[in-house]
Amino acid sequence: MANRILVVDDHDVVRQGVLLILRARPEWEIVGEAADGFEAIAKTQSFDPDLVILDISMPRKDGLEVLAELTQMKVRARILVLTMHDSKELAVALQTAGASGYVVKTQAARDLVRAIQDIFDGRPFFPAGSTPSASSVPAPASKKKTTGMFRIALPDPSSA
Amino acid sequence: MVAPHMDVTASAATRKIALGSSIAALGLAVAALILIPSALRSMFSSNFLPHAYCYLFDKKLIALHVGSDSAIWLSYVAISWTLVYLVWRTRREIPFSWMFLAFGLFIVACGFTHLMEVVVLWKPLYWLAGDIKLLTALASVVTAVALPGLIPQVHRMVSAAHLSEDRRRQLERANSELLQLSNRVLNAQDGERRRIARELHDGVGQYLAAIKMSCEVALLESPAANASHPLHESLSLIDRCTAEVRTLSHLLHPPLLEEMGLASAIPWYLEGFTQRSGIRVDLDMTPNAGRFPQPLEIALFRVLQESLTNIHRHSGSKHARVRFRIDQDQIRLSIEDHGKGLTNGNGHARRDGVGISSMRERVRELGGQFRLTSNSSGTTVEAVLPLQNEAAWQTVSSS
Repeated sequence: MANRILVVDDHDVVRQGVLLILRARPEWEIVGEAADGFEAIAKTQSFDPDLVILDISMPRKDGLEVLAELTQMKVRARILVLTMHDSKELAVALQTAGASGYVVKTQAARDLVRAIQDIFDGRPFFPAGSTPSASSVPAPASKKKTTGMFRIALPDPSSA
Repeated sequence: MVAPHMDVTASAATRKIALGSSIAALGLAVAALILIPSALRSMFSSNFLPHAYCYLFDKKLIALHVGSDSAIWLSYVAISWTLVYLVWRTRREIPFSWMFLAFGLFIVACGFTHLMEVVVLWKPLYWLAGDIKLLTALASVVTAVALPGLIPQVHRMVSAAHLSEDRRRQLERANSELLQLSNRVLNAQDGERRRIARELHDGVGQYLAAIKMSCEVALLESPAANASHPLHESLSLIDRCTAEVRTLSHLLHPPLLEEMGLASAIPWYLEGFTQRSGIRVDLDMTPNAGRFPQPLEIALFRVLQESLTNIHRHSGSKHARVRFRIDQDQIRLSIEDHGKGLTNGNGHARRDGVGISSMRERVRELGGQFRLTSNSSGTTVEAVLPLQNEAAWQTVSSS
């Protein structure tokens, strides 16, 4: 039964919030926490979790890079991305890069548990209204070294 | 309405001309007084032999003298005319132009002496010739005596010229330093805005997200939770706070600009602006504009932001038009409104505020042109930036 989770976010208040939310499911075990990309990769390798909850915007090595590396390393863990913003481009980029879903932080309480459940059941979790349709969206451009700022489209009023 | 100081200069010039003319008139009168009687004397006492007799009417000798004297006379006249012309052209800059005039007079007089040498070969007007020589002598002596006295003045003039050249160079250097400083200030301002935007987004924003998570969990876990639980109010406040922080952060530095470029950032900004201000904006934008170097994009975006902010604050216009076009190798951005224009009550253009100066500076720094035209039926801001100016971009991005 898949239930081992690694939480990665550079802000510890956010990690605490996530842990608080996951308290609702005592059967899910938090095997560890990481505060940056390097730690995330190291701990994924050593703890071999079933799921990594991964913040997109982190300094030095951000979530997208971690995602790419983990996918390349073909780790067993599925990856659920945490982000501050909601956008179609993001959804496409994440799915292409190998994520199983994403949750907007301001909707974490609402979505996180469901997202994890879906992923453990084998379904990807991409919030409604952001279903990737490759046609209208530009291909993910090469990332810049803007620490912590991922590409967004129009800030979605509904996610405020 | 002539300014008072111009009157003074005009009358000083008039006075100089009056003085000069009266001296010239006096000189001519003296010359006439001397020359006319001697001309008469010469003509009525023809006991003298023409000079050609001395030359024994030798044709070659006469030709030699006539040729040389004529050439000298004509050249001297030409030279003195040139001097007069020079004095006329530089009359404002040279304080002792009378010196040049005396020189000119001396040269003309020498010339006429030579002319007389030719004349007396055949007409023995020796008295006339002699008096002309006398006048020449006077002119020469005056010049010879006065000239050394001018040396200190010439010296002063030359040093003054050097000094003003030095000052000019200092001024140029100061100007260019000022320009560099103002560019650095603008770039520092941009950098600061970006940092603050990031702090808001990464710092405050994260705390708000975490608080929301924790409040929502508290609600979920609270047995007595119903629709009137105070946490609902807290959550709604958190949502509003998050939205405000996001708007603030995006206005300071739109992440969209860095990630997707002007093609996305401009429509996004205009939409938000319309929502915030109620001013309708029409956008005419070259499709598929593509990306430009970052300094260009930031500068154009700031020009847009500043112009629209001014329209919102000052113009009273309910409608604006933004044009963003790329032709050949330049980008043209124009923002137009139909408001009351940049005048203060008296109809004079209001002095440049900091915002307008900063727009002008940003555009100039990248080798572009900035134009602001305004009258009572509206204002247009236009920025034209060249697309090939590699040197300018390097300067900007390295500061």
